[in-house]
Amino acid sequence: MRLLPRLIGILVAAFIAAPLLIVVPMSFSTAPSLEFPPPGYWLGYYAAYFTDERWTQPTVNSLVIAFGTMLLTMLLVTPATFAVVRHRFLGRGIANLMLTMPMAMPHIVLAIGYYSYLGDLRLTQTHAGVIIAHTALSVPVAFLILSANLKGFDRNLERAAMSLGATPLRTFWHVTLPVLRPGFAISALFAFIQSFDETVVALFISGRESETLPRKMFESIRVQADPVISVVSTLLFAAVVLVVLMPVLWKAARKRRSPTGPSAVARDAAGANAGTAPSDINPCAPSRVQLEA
Amino acid sequence: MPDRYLQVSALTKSYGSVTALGGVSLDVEKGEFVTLLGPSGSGKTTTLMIIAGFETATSGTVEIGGRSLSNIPPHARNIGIVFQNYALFPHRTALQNIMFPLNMRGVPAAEAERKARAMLDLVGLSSYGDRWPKDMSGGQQQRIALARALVFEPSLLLLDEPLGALDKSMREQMQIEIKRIQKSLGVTTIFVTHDQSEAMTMSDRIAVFEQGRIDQIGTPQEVYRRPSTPFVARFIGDSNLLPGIVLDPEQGLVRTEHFGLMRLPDRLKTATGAKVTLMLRPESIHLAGMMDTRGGDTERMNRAEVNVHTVVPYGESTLLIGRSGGSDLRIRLRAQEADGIGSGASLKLLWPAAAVHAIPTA
Repeated sequence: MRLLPRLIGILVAAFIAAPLLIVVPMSFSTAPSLEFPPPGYWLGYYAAYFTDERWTQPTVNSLVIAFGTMLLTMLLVTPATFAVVRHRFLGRGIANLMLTMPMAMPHIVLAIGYYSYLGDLRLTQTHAGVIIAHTALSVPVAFLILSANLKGFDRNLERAAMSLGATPLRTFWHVTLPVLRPGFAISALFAFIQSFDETVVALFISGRESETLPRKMFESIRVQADPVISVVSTLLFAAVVLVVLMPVLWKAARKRRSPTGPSAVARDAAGANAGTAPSDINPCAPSRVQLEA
Repeated sequence: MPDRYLQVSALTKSYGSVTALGGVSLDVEKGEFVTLLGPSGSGKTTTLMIIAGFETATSGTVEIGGRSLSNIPPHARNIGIVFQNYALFPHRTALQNIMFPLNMRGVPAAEAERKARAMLDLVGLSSYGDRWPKDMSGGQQQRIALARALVFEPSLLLLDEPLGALDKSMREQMQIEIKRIQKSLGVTTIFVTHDQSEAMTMSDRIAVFEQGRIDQIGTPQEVYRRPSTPFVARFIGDSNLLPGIVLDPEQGLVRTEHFGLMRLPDRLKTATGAKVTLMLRPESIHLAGMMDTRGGDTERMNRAEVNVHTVVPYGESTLLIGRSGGSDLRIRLRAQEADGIGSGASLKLLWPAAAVHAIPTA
């Protein structure tokens, strides 16, 4: 009885994973174009990817654009989320809608809009243009993740911090931000990924100067089915697996180095003090306390 | 005139057309432990939040040591607060939590740690400094929260239902613990609760809240023995409330509908014919045969006869509910006294005039 559902589960997983995994052997293939099964194995296409400027430049472009998008998105989304979640104001419903709307729009529609709009501003074919367009696409997902986190945030933590003498700004810095750090991190990560993955808008507005990796891959497969594509795919796949596993690894590492002794405490206290009394940071303090104890 | 340290004067708070506070005044002496007691929505937490600075009063003032708090933001008020859900910072260890207020005040790290460790000792958790809040029990977290609220020597300690989330045995333990720590530091404390037994055991004085007002402020004995309103009598402890009409204020005689003439300990301030509510605690009623009245003043005794219809054993005592005329009477006897009394039994009862307290009825 138990066997059948288990088998179905394995088949479904295989169905989903197979196309992802098939690129891995192909990336080590000696074939001159995409071909499965590979006739032989070598690392030549990896070398090509890392040395050929036609691949390295789009990679750098994509990283720069994704990083820029992430920064801009978080700068916009953080205050917007706090405003919409915590305050009642006229137009709050509309603001909420506007922040999530780009998610519901077909990318091709947005792409055409950005193409003409950014064209007028002479921002097509620039990094800035792509960052602006990608930010508009990243805002909804970053907003949704952050607002879900903020809604679950216990306001008593901030009340406690203020009653204990923290100004609103220091309350945000020492309590709100650290407690919401996972939310911020995931929100920023998704903004990054959203930009890094994005193809349609990039096809329209990134020119040769700001060509992104997905655009390069798309054009490459259209023209010649260059096996370097499978190298890129494999590397991206590996990166995603790494990111997914990171929280697990981090948790394991944190368990191992659980805070012991006053050094961890003093380090943190020094950090908290840094705002007002930098002179208080005394590297000798922890050991002295230890001796007294 | 007692030394008025915390002075809350005529606080009101309205949310649109809803009145949360309708004029709350309260004077607290230095070092006193005062409980704000009332059901949810009675305004006790709103009062606390206004004192803390998280809510602004519609009108009225709060002063500490003669200084108005009106324009002082929460972080500059130097008031320690303990919340029901502890509100420990999850990203800081127990010790780091306690050090937080000292960090905010720029106390050097080594001194902050020394003070925080002293507080850990005081709350009996010396070896728990490096624990994360999530790895501690509710009671332990609450003690850390208490230590954190006290380490910076606040001018006032506010406790917002701090025991509400704890189980019964832990709650009793924490009642004693909080009282001990409060006494040892001599910190002026305002404690908010809806649990009357907590209020009775811990407070120097109790302020009973009803619908945004304070009905009565007094020592636990005062509010228990001489409640000023029927609400206070009902809210604190178990009580029989019998409506009556004053027959003779000089003699302290009141006519009740179902229990006949009732003798009161003192003369009444009200006029003949005035309506009063008589309060009679179930534990001050005795079985007629059991009470030794030989030496007592039989003239000052009240008598009644009831038919028992409900028997509720509580272990050390038994609650009997009897009926006379159209009215119920709750009687609490020691368990041995109630042995053999079953539903349907007829009881002759007796209680001294001193057990009856008259509450003027508007």
